[in-house]
Amino acid sequence: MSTYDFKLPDIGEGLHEAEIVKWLVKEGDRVKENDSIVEVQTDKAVVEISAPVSGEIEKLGGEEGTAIKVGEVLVRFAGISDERAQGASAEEVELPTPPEEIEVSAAAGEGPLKKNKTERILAAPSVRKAARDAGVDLREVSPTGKGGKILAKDLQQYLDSGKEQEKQERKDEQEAAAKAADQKEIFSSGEDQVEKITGTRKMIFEKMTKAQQNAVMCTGMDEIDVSSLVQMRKTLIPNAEQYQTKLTYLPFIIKAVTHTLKRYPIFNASVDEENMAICYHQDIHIGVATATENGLLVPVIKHADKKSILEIAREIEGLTQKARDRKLKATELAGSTFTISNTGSQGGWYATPIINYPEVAIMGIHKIKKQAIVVDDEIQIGHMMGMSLTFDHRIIDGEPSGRFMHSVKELLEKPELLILEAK
Amino acid sequence: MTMMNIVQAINQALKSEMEKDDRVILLGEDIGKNGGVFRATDQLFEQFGEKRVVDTPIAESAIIGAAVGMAARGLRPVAEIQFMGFIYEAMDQMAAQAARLRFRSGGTQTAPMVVRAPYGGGIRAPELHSDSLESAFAHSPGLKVVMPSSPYDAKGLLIAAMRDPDPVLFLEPMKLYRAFQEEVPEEDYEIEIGKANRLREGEDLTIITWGPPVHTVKAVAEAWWKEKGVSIEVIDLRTVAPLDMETIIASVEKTEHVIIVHEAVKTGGVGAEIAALISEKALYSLSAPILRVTGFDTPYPTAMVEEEWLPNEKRINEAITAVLDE
Amino acid sequence: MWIEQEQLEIEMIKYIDEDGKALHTDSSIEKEKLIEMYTGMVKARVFDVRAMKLQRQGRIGTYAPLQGQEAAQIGSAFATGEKDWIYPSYREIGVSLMKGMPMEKLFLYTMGHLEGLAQKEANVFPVQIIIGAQYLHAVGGAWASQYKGEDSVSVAYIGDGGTSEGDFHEALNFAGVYKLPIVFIVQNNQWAISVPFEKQTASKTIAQKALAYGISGVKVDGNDVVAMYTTMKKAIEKAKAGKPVLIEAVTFRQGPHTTADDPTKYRLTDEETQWSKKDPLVRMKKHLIQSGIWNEEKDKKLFDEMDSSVTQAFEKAQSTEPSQLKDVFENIYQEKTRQLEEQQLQAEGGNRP
Repeated sequence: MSTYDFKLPDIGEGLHEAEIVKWLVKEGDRVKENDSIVEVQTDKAVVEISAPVSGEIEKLGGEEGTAIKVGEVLVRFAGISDERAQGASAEEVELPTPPEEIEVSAAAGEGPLKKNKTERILAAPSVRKAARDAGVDLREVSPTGKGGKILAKDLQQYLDSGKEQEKQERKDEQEAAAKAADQKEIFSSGEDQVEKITGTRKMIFEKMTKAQQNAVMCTGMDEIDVSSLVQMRKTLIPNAEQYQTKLTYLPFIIKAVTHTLKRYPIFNASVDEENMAICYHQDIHIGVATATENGLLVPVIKHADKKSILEIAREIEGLTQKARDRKLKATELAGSTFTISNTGSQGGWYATPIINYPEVAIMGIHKIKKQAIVVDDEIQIGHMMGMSLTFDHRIIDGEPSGRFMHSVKELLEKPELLILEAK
Repeated sequence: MTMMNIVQAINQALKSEMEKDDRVILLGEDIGKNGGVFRATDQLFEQFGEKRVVDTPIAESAIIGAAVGMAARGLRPVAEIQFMGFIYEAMDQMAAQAARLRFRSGGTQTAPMVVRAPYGGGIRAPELHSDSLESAFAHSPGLKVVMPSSPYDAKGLLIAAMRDPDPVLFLEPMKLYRAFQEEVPEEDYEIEIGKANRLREGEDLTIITWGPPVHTVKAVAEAWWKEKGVSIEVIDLRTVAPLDMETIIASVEKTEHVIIVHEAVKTGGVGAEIAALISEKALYSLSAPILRVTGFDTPYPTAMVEEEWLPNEKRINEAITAVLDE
Repeated sequence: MWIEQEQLEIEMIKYIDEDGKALHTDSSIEKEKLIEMYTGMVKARVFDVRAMKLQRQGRIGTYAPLQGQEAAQIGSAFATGEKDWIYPSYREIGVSLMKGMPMEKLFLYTMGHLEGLAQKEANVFPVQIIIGAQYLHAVGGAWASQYKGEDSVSVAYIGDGGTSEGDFHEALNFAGVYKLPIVFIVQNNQWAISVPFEKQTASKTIAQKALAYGISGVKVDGNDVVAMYTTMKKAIEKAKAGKPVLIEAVTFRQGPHTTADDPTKYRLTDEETQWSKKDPLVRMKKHLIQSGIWNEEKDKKLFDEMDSSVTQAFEKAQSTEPSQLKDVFENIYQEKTRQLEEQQLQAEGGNRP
């Protein structure tokens, strides 16, 4: 046996309180379910309320003539059969509490909420997004648009000038170094050269620091026998040439990676630390880390999974050309969901690439070299390529990264599979 | 293929569907012997008789209310409201009854019916004959709202509407009824409801429109290409409820500039919904504010000022200049 | 020629008087049928009284009681056949029960359960909220059965207030023009929320309105279940022969308009007392006892049985899996639109808006 609190229900349509007009029972009375217990007056009507359970009236919720709010206890019943009490509480509807009256302070709308008008920046959403992706504070960009608006080309100008400045600074540095060397000859000690970190270098600096400070990076490595791929590419080069396209290994590798990302979506994700969440991206946009004379750039192949190898090849060619000519738009440098770092033929055999934060993994691909390999217990010459995969160990374990590498390896060792899975 | 105008295409769609499906019944004012005030049902009374082409008393609420009852009991009624302005009489039966029947019966009752209504301005008609009221119905979950702009579209969309399992409001642009002819297949075919038509591809700006302004917009886009090399993408929505989000968003992401053109009044129009949709899904692609060229927030005006009131070439050109100047 | 309504003599059809005495000797309804109708009335009353209490306990939502109108509802519904279709307003709980709608479904509806909307157990159209709108659906339904050659009549219910709506006029007009198999029932319960019958219309009767549309009209004592049943039988015959009928059932709404209403604000208890003497259940019970086929013991047993079946039904309704927000997207279109798919995901806590 237990007690049951019967709270005043909303018996009008949007009632907040009711006045107790007349009690039809007193404390100590025994009542049956659906027996009338009280008359109350609402804004709309005088109504009789009956008991939702059978039991003894332990306590009345108020004197006649007093008001009682919806959700307050109208009657407490005792001696309820446990089963019924349970049933009763289970069916109890969560009543919306009327909103508390909010105190409106006279100062509302003033104070810290008010922004300094001089800080107002005029720019289209597309420009704001590009600036955010490039890590540029728009307040530093000089506007040329109508009414002081920052245009896409202003942002571009700003980014390019950073590169210019950097170049100039590098030149200065070299000159200073040469000068220092000259001075060394006569063994006089020179002053250390201080170079400001700005522009693209500053962006790279900040991004790298952020990645290092936030992600817990772990790198796995493997080598891939790309002999078949070498052969396949050779056969396809003339076909690609018909489309005036230069066919490198990279498009094949990108394709293998997009297939693998679909198999293991955790690698096509980013970390949202503020909300402690992993954001799985629906689209696959591959960033291609490229070394240029202006520093490290990561142009992006959007929707790489939906493009053919030929289309990717053409796009890479276009982006590389633009990178060289410094014509890359900010939008072409933003939005990647997974990055591939190509260390090129001058690079080493393995590396520990740094994640393009907040992405969760980056793949390094390295030079292809001929090497003696064992095939069916015989020594052969194979074309071997080094591969490294750095992943954010906070959200990806070692085992899935092994599977990821295995998948890429399988697709590149037997590139016909790409045809099998092509869409 | 035969050359036909919109009225002929509609007539042919009704006729061919009635020949195939005897559940299809037409009801409306003056649609029988008279063949409809625009002759959209011409000769159908003679071919199918008074049981299937029913001249009703003048009662819009009853025409649509009875159609709801018929549809729920297995028929496929096609009701005609003589002019869209008269549909206010039947607002309850449209928005509270036909639209909601599936929901309010927990899916046990449905209203597969079509309500046809001529609408739109530019023909110097009396009051309440020219209004474009699509947004009121796009705001009623359960209804589909289809607005063709050509004979080919009118036939394919009307056949699709008559076969649709849900109530469809099919709006016919009066000004275009006989404005031009085009090749329309003799056989029946469907155009998917809810899919927009990208009439013209472009790179610099997207104009989204439907109904009568489609043709004005197309001409303007061609002129900008020829004269200034500006490439404008033109999207004819065909259906305003449900909206084809994919086509709209894909285009905005490409061109980064948007103008919406419709005849209906501005405030609370379907254009506002499209602008909101773009801001939800493609804000960061935008390089300029979204502009709307629409009717003004007044009742549809008297004939002497209607040409200026409607979205015309001049007003569309001004909007294009403003958007590209951003 | 001038036409004045004073020229009309419209008599009210009545079979049993207030003391339960039979007024016609030609009433040849089998006693099983009489008991079946009385049982239906008791079921409706017990359900109704309980529903009012449950609403006051906060266990169901707004409810529109039918107390006092049981004879009008049960008598007319009992006369319909299996193929006939009912187009009810929100007050036709008695009709729905008589047509075989399970009580727990009616509870689910008042509890705001999505499943309470799906009424597929009987040929009953969904409860109509807009006054008079269902009259036109009934016209369409009757039209469909006429077109398809079905042996089916459409029966539509409204109250006296509903006769002021345009849809009432349009429906009767269409029915007359197309000679549809339809019976329009107006339960003239004297009150449309707070507006009394004499302020609703200057017509002496509702039945006479039929004349304007070239259809048949009849005025019946709506608290006399035998009169209701007998009249309805004839009306259905006429309707099937292409003569639509308007039935005015004169009755009284004993309770409030809905649980959100207080009739003491606008009507006198005198009127309520007068009408409580004409209570349809009391009258029928007296008639059955006088006919020697009923007694107090049987009566008490019947009430007890109904009471426990209502309890069971309510318990069943309560144990039904609660509706969830994500379910509201299911019956908007046959195929969900992209927008609805997106919003459903959102409702499930998936994507951002």
